[in-house]
Amino acid sequence: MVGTPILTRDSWELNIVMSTQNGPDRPKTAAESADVNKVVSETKAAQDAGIPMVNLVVDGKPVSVPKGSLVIEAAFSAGSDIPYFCYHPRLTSVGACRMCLASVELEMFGQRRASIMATCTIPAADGMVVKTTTPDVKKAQNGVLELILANHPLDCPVCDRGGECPLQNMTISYGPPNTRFIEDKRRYVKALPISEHVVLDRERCITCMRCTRFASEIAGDSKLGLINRGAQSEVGPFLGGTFDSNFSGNTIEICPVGALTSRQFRFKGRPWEVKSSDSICTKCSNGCNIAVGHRMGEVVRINGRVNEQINEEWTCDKGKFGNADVNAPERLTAPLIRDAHGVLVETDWDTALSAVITNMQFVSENYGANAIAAFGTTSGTIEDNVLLGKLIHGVFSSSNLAYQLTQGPRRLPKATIVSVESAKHIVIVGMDLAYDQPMYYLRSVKAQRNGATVITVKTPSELAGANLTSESVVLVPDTLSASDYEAIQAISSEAGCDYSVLVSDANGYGPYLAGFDGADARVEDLHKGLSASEKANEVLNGLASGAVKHAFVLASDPVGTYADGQLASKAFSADAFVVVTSQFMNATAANASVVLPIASFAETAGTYLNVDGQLQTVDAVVPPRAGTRPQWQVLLELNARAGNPLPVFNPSDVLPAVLMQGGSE
Amino acid sequence: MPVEQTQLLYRHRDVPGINRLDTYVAHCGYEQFRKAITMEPDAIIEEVKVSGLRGRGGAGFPTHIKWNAFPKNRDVEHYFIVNADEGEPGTAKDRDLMNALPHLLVEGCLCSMVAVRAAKCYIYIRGEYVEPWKSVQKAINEAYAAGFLGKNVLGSGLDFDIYTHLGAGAYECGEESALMSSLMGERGMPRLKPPAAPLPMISGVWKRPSVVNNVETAATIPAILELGGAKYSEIGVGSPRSRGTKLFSISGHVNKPGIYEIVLGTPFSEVLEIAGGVRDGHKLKTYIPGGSSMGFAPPTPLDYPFDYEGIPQNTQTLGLGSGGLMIFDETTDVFKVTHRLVDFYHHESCGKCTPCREGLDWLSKIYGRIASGGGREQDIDLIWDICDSIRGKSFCALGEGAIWPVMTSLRLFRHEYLSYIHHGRNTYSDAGQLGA
Amino acid sequence: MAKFTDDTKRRLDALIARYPTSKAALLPALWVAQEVYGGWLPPEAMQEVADHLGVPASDVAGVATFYTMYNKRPVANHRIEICQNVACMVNGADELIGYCERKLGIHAGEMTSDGGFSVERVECLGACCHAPALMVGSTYYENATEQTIDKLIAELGNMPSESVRPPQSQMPEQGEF
Ligand SMILES: Cc1cc2nc3c(=O)[nH]c(=O)nc-3n(C[C@H](O)[C@H](O)[C@H](O)COP(=O)(O)O)c2cc1C
Ligand code: SF4
Ligand code: SF4
Ligand code: SF4
Ligand code: FES
Ligand code: FES
Repeated sequence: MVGTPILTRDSWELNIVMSTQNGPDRPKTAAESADVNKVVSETKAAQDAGIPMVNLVVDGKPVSVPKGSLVIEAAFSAGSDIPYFCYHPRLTSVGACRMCLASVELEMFGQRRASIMATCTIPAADGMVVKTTTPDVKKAQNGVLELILANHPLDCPVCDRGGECPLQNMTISYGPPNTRFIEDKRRYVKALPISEHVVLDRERCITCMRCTRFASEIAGDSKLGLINRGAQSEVGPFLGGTFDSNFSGNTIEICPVGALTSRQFRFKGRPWEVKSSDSICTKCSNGCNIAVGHRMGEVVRINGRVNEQINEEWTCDKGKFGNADVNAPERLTAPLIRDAHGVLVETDWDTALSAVITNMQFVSENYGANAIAAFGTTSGTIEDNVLLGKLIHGVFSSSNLAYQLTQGPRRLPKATIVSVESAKHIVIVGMDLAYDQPMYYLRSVKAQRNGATVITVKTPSELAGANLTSESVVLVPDTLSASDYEAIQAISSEAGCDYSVLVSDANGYGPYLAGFDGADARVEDLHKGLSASEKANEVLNGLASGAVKHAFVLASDPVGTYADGQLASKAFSADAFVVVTSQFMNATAANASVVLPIASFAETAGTYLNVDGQLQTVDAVVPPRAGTRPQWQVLLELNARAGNPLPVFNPSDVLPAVLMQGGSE
Repeated sequence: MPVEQTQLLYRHRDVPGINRLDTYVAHCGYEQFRKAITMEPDAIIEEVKVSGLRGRGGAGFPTHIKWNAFPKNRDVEHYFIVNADEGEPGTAKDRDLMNALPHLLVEGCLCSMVAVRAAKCYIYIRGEYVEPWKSVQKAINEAYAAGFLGKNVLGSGLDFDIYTHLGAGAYECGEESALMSSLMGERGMPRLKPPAAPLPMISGVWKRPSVVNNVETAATIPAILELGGAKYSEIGVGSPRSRGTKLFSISGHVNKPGIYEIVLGTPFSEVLEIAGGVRDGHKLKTYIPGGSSMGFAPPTPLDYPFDYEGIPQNTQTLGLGSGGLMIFDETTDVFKVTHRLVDFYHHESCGKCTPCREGLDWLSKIYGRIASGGGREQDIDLIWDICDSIRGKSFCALGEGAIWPVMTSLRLFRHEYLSYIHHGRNTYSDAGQLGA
Repeated sequence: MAKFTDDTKRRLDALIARYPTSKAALLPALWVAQEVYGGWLPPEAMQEVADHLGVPASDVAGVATFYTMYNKRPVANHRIEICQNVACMVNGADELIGYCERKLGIHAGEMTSDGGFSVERVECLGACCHAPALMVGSTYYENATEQTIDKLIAELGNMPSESVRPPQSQMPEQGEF
């Protein structure tokens, strides 16, 4: 070790001076920009809302920030930059990494003086003077970074974080350009899988406690904790256990280094080769805003994107990792048609679409308009439903637009995702909220941290023992029986509270907006509630009895999902000509006459109405998988072939028209 | 004329059976508590203020200021917490006090509880101190039986409960906010302090008003009430801000190591004499005045007031600290002693903040390398720079305390480092041949 | 396999009653668990504590691994823990540790093959004025010499580990008066 070439003290100090290309314009990762944007926009909102403010000076610039803001936040609002790792605008401050040092002049114990402080822990106060760029501050930041890097493996070339790594960024902007650390670094087994989705590299961990705070404060499950102490500290799940949380993926995103990485994304590409496009997750009804990462036309990862009304910036694991099914080999990539032997065989689009239209025309002419039926989709877009309505009702004049959401009331929930956050008493009936309604769950954790009681009962009858009051928020799944909903209605109205049915699919109300299930609704009607409809059962009975001869099933699986599964399977095993659009084979498609392979959520565009009534429009992010087509294109083509040429349009234009027209005309 | 060593805490230290309630009461035990319980809480705080008492746990913060910060009512539960985590190397006084005079501690706690309007007290005792723990718990049990603890104590309408809480091996839990974390069943990591968070006296353990005081601080309260604050403040021969007596654990190379109650401001040379002087045939090389975190002091001057002000002024160490005075004679290998301390702090760092966790890990590796002959001259600058990156930047005072022995040893004994670097051994000590 | 008996649970409940939250009883509860599990805390012990206190298991692991006196591995019957900190060091602690190592034929941190003894280096025990100091079980031996070690090993060698039980087993209970 003695002969190792080393720096002299002089060159060291020279280098400190050289490596200070920093400040607010330094390159930032998406997450870093999101942090700053959040802080700045909240400050603006507070200014507008007349919230009490404090006034201070940062780098000579006066700034006014809402009371309770931290000094680092005031600095962001003033347009200054302070490097940080453990600070996160959605987590409580710990002051662990000590990266955010700046000079803060304040009055304490009657004395006014400036000292170097961790600005993520200090609340901004009137009259403070903050300096982020003095030589002392630079030296302090430099020193802390040198220590953070001391044991760091610096295996950036094979690190999935490289290129979007806050540690790399801070180092280039604030750090020492070289190391004086010549000792042996701490060694651990690298790439330790700690769950189905997450790998941990303890050598890269800087013990910022973001992931552990996320687990206890945001996910509320404390599935990740710190063990051991001092230099031996490491994060991990309970000894010998796994990190089985429905929100584990978020820790990958907030980890400021490559210590927690995704098994799915592992070595799928360098972050800078991954393009990111905005989209909406359709794995459940919550409608989380996501950024779809894609490389060479292939979806490689899903990250959270900020939407304060829905997912703040989080995703659940179902959304983060489940959307990989876009790449699944099981996807249908050619239309299927039932051949002379009754077997589904691949065919081309032209043949399949002709077969569909030919049969529709034949049925319409020979058996009347109502011998044709359509089933709306809850996973496709509102536009898809509208275009199907135009075909079946508009062209063929059938009134059989069927769809079944729930046996309960057909209305949007009173309890919105955001409102749950301030509830005092939350009662969950018969569902695993964390899995079924992830964003409702995360807000319930917030409510709980603010003192709310959160209880889960298995069955509606247990609700009687839940001490409901008029303040209670009762959350109910959309899968219960009619009598269950009656029981819940009775108990909650006695207590004077409401109950909210939360739908499960990405576009649970979409078909209503397109005139399905006897509805002719606009969003505001959904808030009021629609009257009951027997349309779905009527159509299913018609299919079962043979009165309905052609059924067009739009991206859904009535056999697998409708409440009266027996009736549905009877209906779909009758002789009718059934057309199903789908990404994957399912129970309804298995019995179909024609199956049309459609594009995934990432490959199509359109509008979704989420669980609590928020409309969101998205564009396609990647081209459709070869052989598949976006549903809206398929329906445009069918309309055209049926003699109803619609203007070629940008899918995002369809929506306003729909809402103006209120339905399928 | 040597300073007269008034004995307050240790007055009855050697009375046989003083650890039992009956003997303690026979020596006027619990008299001060009987008095305190009839006093206005603020009147007690006023006596403490006048007495000039400063915390005996290490930081030397005036006790009355902490106590005055409590809400002046009993709307919510207040907690009085005793820091008996004594882990600062060189400090052994709280152990002795708890073993020998457990009722003095209980009485001190009771008086303090009246002052801060607390009905509950937790004594946080380090895990190794099973014997002192049993001793204190036994005294508590006796005090319950005698009606000094429990409901409506002495007809005052007030309830008092004292619980012992055993730690489990973590020096950092002596840091008061880490102690609070530990008491609440968490990892012993420090918590945010003002201005980042409210004072513990407003929101401490379980978000309720709480204060942490050292064993000796609490045990001094009865003496203050007995003498009256003014009289107590007359004790002390040094700085006007260092009043009363203080327990010192004197260890290392002295003829009569032990724990002594010493009047603050007594000249250092006299303190040395009280412990029998540097062991025979040897001479003073350096010493640590108040627990390892204070750093090394030069062998001169000797005649200066040994108190809160005198020590930092005359030795450029951090100060009086916990009163753990460690004496080292010329046989001592200061590099090796420092190395051992660096490893100690490295082992005890809680790991929360980067400077302490990584800085000490690095220092420990550098010391190891130098000790085994791999030292380089530039390591000295490197060590200094690392200390600089820790100083004022660590989350709590452990990091700060860790670098103090390092920096002082570098300042005073740089040649010993160079000796290791150039010759692979310390040519300035006879280490390894410690004939006693 | 759960090892907590009704009696263990009663003890834990008594501890919980001393604090405003059950989590606060975690340290004392781990002491009890360490006793019940024979001197160390396997993950099952931590899980049982977590279940009884209603605290997340990862928090229990975090706490158990933070404090050095909770053993994460099985330990020797008699652990000779010798202070290595400076007051003891300048009074011959290293020599004493060396003597002990040679006598037992093990290195500090190891245990004899029969699990009878281990020698461990520990930090300041608060016995600096009577250095060097060591601890066996919960008993201190101060001004220790080679003779102290000889005597200890001779006496303890024949004794089952219960005779020097870990400290937690002697926890006096509040209200026993
Ligand atoms: C790392 C560290 C360890 C400490 N250990 C102890 C200790 O063992 N006993 C103690 O009384 N104070 C200790 N202190 C000081 C306490 O934080 C606190 O100042 C003291 O308990 C307050 O009590 P006092 O005001 O009565 O002195 C320690 C401080 C630090 C930073
Ligand atoms: S975490 Fe960042 S700095 Fe560390 S190896 Fe990965 S890319 Fe490099
Ligand atoms: S794994 Fe990442 S987020 Fe978690 S503590 Fe380590 S560096 Fe921070
Ligand atoms: S200085 Fe930092 S790492 Fe060290 S004990 Fe304090 S908080 Fe923990
Ligand atoms: S960002 Fe402030 S201490 Fe980590
Ligand atoms: S140094 Fe050994 S007991 Fe304090």
